[in-house]
Amino acid sequence: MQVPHKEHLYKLLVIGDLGVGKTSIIKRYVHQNFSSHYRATIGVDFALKVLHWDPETVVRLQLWDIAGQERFGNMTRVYYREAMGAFIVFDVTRPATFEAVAKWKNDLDSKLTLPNGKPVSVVLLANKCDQGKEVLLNNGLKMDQFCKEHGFVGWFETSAKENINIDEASRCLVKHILANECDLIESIEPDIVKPHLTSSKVAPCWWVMQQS
Amino acid sequence: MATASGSLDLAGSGAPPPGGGAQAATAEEEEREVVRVRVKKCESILPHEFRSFAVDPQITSLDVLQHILIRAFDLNGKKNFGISYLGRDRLGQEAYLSLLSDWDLSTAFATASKPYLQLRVDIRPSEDSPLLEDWDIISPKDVIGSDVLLAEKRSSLTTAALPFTQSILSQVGRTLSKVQQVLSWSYGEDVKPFKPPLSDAEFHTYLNHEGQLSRPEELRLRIYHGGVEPSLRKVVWRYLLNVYPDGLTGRERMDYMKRKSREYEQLKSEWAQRASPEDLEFIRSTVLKDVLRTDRAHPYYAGPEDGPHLRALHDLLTTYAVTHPQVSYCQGMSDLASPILAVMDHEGHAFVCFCGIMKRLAANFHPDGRAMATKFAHLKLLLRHADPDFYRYLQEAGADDLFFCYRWLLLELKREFAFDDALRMLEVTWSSLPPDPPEHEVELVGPPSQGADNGFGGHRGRPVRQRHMLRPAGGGSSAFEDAVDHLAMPSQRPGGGGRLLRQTSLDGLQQLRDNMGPRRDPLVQLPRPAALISSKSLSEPLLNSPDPLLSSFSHPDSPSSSSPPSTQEASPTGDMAVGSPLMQEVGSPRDPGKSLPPPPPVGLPPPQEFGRGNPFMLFLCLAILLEHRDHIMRNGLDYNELAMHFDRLVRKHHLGRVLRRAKALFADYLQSEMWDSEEGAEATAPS
Repeated sequence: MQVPHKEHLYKLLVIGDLGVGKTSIIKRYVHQNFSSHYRATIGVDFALKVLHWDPETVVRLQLWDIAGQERFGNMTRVYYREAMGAFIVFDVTRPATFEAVAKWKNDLDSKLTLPNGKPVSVVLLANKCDQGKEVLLNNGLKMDQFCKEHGFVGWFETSAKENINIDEASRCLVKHILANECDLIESIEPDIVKPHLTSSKVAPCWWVMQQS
Repeated sequence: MATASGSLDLAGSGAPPPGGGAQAATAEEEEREVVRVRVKKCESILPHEFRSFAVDPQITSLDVLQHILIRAFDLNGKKNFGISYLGRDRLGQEAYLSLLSDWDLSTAFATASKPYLQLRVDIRPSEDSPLLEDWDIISPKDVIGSDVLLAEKRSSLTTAALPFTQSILSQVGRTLSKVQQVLSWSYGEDVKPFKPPLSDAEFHTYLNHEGQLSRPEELRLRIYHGGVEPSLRKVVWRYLLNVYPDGLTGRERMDYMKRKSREYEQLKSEWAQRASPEDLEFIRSTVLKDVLRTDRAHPYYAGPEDGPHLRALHDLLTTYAVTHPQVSYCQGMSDLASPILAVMDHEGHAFVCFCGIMKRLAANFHPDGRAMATKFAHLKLLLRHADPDFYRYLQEAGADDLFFCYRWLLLELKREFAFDDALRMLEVTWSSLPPDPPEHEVELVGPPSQGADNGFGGHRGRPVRQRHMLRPAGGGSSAFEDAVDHLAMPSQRPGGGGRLLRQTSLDGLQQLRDNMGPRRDPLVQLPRPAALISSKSLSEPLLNSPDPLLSSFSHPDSPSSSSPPSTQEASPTGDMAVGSPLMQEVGSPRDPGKSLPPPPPVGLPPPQEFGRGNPFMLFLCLAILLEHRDHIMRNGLDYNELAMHFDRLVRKHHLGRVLRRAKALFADYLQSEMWDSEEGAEATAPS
């Protein structure tokens, strides 16, 4: 018996400081390969990933790979429009790229909201974990706390080079987007950062303050 | 043979400036746009020769006139001639008066150019010159009824006047378009649009016996047609990138490059003095990140990460960032520097060339985004002109912001073509711009940082880094979008734009004249870059249509054939637009005041403004867009699909097709008067 087929098309942003591995993560995710010679992204690059989410659901992801060095601040607003979710990436071997994460998140939230006025789901990626494992291993709790404070729906240590956790991170983000879309967020188990993550159904007070 | 009379006492007579004098104030500019000149050459007992042509009195100096005459009468090597004009002497008698200075020429234009200025050229040494026919004509009015002219003669004269046309284009543009049209019309037949790449032997024909480049514009035109042989790029790109000051001999060029290289080595040793440790570290790590992923597939940059070429690229970019704190390093610069270094294969020389190109492109990287916003707005205007249907499609798809062209505009399409194709594309693009040699030499150091005391504290590194980060959220810094919104909309602001442009042009002209004294060839000194290429003939007719200008101008029954020059505006633009898709939306651009609202005519900016210093690049972008418009429209691609479509084509565009199309579109633009319009200039004038 033919099951009714559901298709979703989501635009996802991949942002973060330059050289943290945004393009590499996307290439790994979409093309299953890795090179250390991907060119610096100028403006934005694009990729498409098709997920067979479950027997009746196909999810198409448009991945927008946005240049890390943004000399052109308000171009991003144009790139951000109509996105349903985002990855913010930093490089575990370069602390400065982590320091910039909050800025990227604030910028995103200030420029992009869902039609219902809520912020989009964002997953934080600690990339290049193959090169600097010990940096974050001890900081798991701190990371959970950080995500809670800044409204990330989850975080993952990833390696585009070793293909670590990229699929998982994507599934996490898509799950939240689907849930958001169905307005069923309360039925979803928070990933990774449970039990710290509050449901984003009701915006925490710090969001409200930020938006005003 | 002496000329007939002495010169006038101009100081005493008040020396009316060009455009003043007897003209009524209202009509003076129209009246003075073109002065027809008839020249009689007298040489011992030989029969007199005659030539006629038209010039713009606003920008024609004595040097320019001499240049034209030399070329028109083939006087090369015979500099020993005098020029005089038929005017009235102090007693009111008609007489030939010496033309010895720009003042004389201004007087001649002002007092003796009705109905045409009669000149006499007296030549001392005798020669055997073939008998040439009367009235070799290049003025628009005359051309219309001059079917009898032989193609040979036309091309010889128009070739002679070509550099002149280029200087006109870059300086006055708007006013001289009519002369330019005619030149581009008749220049055509014998010039093949595509030639083999410039060879070493051919290049030497552009140098004189001392090794000085004697015909810089023609060299560029030649390269525009065919590019440069790869082995010759090292030499020729330095001209194209405006590294050399005018008039250097071969010896002087070598010394110059040696000296500039030493200067570079010195700057390179001063990183630590010029930047704080934190600043320098930030720059170096950013540069290194990009160097390690710039054109690594190309043999020149392949190999280990500590290879000498990667190191050279890193050092060059770091030195530039440190010596240009207002620009610093931005992503994309490595893409601009990479081909230059690969071609020069010399770090110091490459740095000098990089400074040359960044003089024009640094604004692309400015954080206010203004330059880029203007380029987006111009590309948008152009696409709207060229293909209203496609433009409407993009509008409906919400893609008419054209932001998927960001990288194209930022890097002047360097990344859109495979590396070797990109080299050809770049040199062709550069050669479409008029020479802009440095007055003294290329500056290797930029102005100091402005951010040193702007509230970020005394730390010099701060402002630089700040710039690379996102702006604080909600800071109200929507300069870019505002700029785009503003620029994209045809402004209804009254007055202003056109007049300002005109004034600027005249200032430039005055400067040109002031500087002209000892120069042998004033044409190479152009005040600002614009379009060098001025001729329809430079490419194939668009879509194989018959040359619309040719058909309208050569038609003896054309309604405009009987109009006197001053009513040239009345000639039907529509006729010329036949077969020209670029003209589809142009109602009657020559008469914006009388145009009716639906549909409003939208002009394009003149070449010296279009694309902010690189109009041809816009036409390359347009050509790429048009190459894919059918596919896009047929498949109904939406905003994202469209962006992804072009993303897949990175480094895969077909250079030959794109160039051919771009050149045809560009030629169409240059010779039409679609940019001779107030709207175009105003709609895109940066606020």
